[in-house]
Amino acid sequence: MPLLEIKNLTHYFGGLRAVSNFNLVLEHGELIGLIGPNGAGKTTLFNLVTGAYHASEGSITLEGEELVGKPPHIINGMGISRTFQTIRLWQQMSVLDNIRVAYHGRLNYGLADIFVQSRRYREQEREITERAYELLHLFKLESYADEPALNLPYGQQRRLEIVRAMASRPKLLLLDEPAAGMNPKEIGALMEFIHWIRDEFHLTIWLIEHQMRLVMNICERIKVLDFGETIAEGTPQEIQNNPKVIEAYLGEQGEVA
Amino acid sequence: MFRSMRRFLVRLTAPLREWLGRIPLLAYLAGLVGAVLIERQFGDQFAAALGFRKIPAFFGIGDLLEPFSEINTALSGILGPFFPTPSQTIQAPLQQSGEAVGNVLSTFVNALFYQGRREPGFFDTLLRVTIYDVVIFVIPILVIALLLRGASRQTVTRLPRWANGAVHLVLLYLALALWGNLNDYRALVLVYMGVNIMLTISLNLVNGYMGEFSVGHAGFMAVGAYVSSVLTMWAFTDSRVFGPHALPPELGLPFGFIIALIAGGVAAALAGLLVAFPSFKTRGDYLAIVTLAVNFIVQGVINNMEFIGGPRGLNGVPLWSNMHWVFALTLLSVLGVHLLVNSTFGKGIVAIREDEVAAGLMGVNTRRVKLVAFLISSFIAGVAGALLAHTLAYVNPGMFGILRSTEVLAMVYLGGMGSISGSIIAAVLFTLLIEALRPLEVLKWVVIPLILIFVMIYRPQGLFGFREIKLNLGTERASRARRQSPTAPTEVSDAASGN
Repeated sequence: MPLLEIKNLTHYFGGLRAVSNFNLVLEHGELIGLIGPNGAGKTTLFNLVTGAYHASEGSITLEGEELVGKPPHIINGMGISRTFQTIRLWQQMSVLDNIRVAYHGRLNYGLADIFVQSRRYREQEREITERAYELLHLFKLESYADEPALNLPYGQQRRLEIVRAMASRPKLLLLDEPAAGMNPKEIGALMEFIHWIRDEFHLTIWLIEHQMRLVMNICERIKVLDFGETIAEGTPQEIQNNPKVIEAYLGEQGEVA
Repeated sequence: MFRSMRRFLVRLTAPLREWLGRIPLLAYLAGLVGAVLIERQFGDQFAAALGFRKIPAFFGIGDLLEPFSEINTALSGILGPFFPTPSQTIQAPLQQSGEAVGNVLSTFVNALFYQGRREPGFFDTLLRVTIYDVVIFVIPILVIALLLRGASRQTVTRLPRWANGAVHLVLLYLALALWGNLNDYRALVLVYMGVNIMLTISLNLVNGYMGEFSVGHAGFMAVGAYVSSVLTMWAFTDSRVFGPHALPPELGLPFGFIIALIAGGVAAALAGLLVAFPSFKTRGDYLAIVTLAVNFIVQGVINNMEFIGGPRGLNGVPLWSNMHWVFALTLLSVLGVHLLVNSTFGKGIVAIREDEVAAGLMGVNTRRVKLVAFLISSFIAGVAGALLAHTLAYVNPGMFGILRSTEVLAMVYLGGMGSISGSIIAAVLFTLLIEALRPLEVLKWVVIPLILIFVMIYRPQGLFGFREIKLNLGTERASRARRQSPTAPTEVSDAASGN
């Protein structure tokens, strides 16, 4: 069974068709890219998969289970986690607490446990804190643990967003423009980093990116979206030479070398 | 200029503050108990010797502004001549008004300086109050704290954590009880303080930690006050409204009262649902309107319920609450909110404030968390209302209007969003301020808002916005052991931090 299967997914914003008849089958362990000009509907697609929006038509299944109509925290608990195009950390909270909250879905103590500090409460809290420290150590953010997230340098904030997404142990990780605002050297490091987390955590990764160098180098398969429609799909080589893609990016009269 | 002066003062006193900060809290608390005992023993004589009619109730801050009590009447002379009552005819209002200005100035100057034994001036009172406070409180506290600093450090390190907390609390309770017990006015103001702390903390949970803007907190207080009062009056007292008591009055204290308090809290929490459910769909300013509406609905409903007195309110609520009850319940509320906001579950409340959409996408069940926050917040407000009702022996809907809600809001913003220690300090300061400004009568409602305006301009985050005071409890936290495990490859971020 594929990990994620999207069938005939269509979404309207009022009268505007933002995503139209999108289909995708994502196997375990794949690393695929989604590209397309601005406003093509890429982030909308992520919002549909994670439950931030409810799809107008079509179905999304994770290992056979329907996702459309489920609230975001349930979908997160089922194994889909994401990062955002613009950093959306909880700025005033400490780095450690940013990670702790990501375990929210797995808490199974009640309010009474908090107020009487029951053994169940203390054990779970200790476990969460330990795991959070482990993750921070693994991603070399340990030294910032007690620092409010907004005090971190930009690159570290991007990194923390990925760590936060990893905390809920997802099967599928959605990265929305992870290289935004990075220079070529940093992008090189990021590519290595993405490969490393995929192997270390046995993840399936689906990413949106404008940096062609990153997409062409690390993705095994690429889908191209324009005005909500899939215009091309294939390996990086196939995409690079696809006239439709070139047209979408450079316009009809675009001269191609 | 103020800033450089402040910096200079801060630097000048830094070594002193550091030195004082090294003394554990326990020693100070012991000092406080000692000082209170000294006041009980010698306070009367000493106060009389200094020329006070009775012991200064709140470290003398209430006496400080006493000399200005006539300034209010003097001020009304300035505008009065321009707005005569129908029976008056005033010639040359401008001239009269001008004389009144002079009158205000002379009243003010007179109030500042010594005017005789019966009417001491401001500076005179200030001097005597300072002497009283230094001799009775500052010196004993410091001396005892210094003497006991070694002993308390040892006690603190030797005892287990829970026993430590208990020792601190018992000392604090002793100090407050002995201090408040000396005079009824003090005891009453201590009750106000406790109630205000509960209100501020509970509102801070919603406004500070969760980042919503609730402006109708008094509504929940009203529900708690009324439900508990109706319950205790119906069950344990003979009243005109509810007839003879339904249960033996001996059961009233403590069991009946405890049940009534819980019932008041639960009823208020149910009223909190009126805000919690709309909060799933709307937030920010729009939710603020909802909370305002809830405040008015509650007040309106009570106003129209004749069988509980309608706008006249309820008289004869049993006088069961006192500073001991209030101390216990304030403590429970503070502890409860503290434990909640520091749990992983409670961090979800803060995550909603910081970015609700991200919180949902990262696995926080935002509806459940909001529901819990609103329920707990209104529960505590309800209990606070119940305590107030059983302290004053009287409730009426007018006590729980938008003005009351605004007062609580003011305390929250004075103390700082998302800070428990800030809330406590703000509630204490605000209650004291109201008492200190009492001699100014109506003018108080000009001075207090002015203070708030200045706080908002010069310290918009409040006294302790998003911070907690760190008390020196004398215990060091053990450093965390770190484990070895594989770490991520070359830093994405090291390079990124350069741009």
